[in-house]
Amino acid sequence: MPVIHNRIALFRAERGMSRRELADAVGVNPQTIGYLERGDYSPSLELALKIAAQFDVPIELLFSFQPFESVATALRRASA
Amino acid sequence: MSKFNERLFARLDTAAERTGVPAMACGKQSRRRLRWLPLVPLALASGSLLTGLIRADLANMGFALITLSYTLAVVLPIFGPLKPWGTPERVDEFDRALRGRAMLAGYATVSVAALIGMWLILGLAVIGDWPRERILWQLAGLPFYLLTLHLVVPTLHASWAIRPVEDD
Repeated sequence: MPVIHNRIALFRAERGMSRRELADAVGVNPQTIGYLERGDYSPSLELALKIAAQFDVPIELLFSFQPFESVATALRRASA
Repeated sequence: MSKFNERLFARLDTAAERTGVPAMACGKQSRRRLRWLPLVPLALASGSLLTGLIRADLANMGFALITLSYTLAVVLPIFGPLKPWGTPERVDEFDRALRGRAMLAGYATVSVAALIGMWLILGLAVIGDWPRERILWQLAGLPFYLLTLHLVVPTLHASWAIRPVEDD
């Protein structure tokens, strides 16, 4: 089964949301958000869409089969 | 209400909450990974079954210990990481997936143990020319052993499948 990488923790930090707040918003337990962020669990399409809708971003900005580049790398690339 | 009664009822409330039953009813019970505790009834039941198969004079004691293991195993799912069907707790897709995998592991184990157990008892009874009573004690113990596995294996599987998530 392919690994699905995600940037939930990054978006959550950027919006200043706690795990519990996000979990309540999408109808799961806070631990499930933790398992998602850690990559221990791949979400269903329904949950992935709910999380993307919560952050108001397209789903491919949050989830990918390829690892996301780090924020530091993205900043370096942007400033170059 | 007198001061004495107030204190008495407050203490009774505290005692009731310590049992964990009110939290269970509200769906707020604390669940934890039980990585080692399920091994106690599992080892006890397995050892008792084998003891009964090897020693004819200990068949009754083996049966008694298997039922004791079953009694211990009944308590495990209440505190284990698996949320049962119909619980008032919030059961999300992760909980359902975890429960599905753990129950599958449990059913597979029970199926294999049932096949091996039945053929083992039958085979040993034929080879050792067991008396009718001993065969009956062994056949009576096997279902309790299988029920113990059915309770212990899913809890054990789920407890080892997850790692705790720290609060943020």
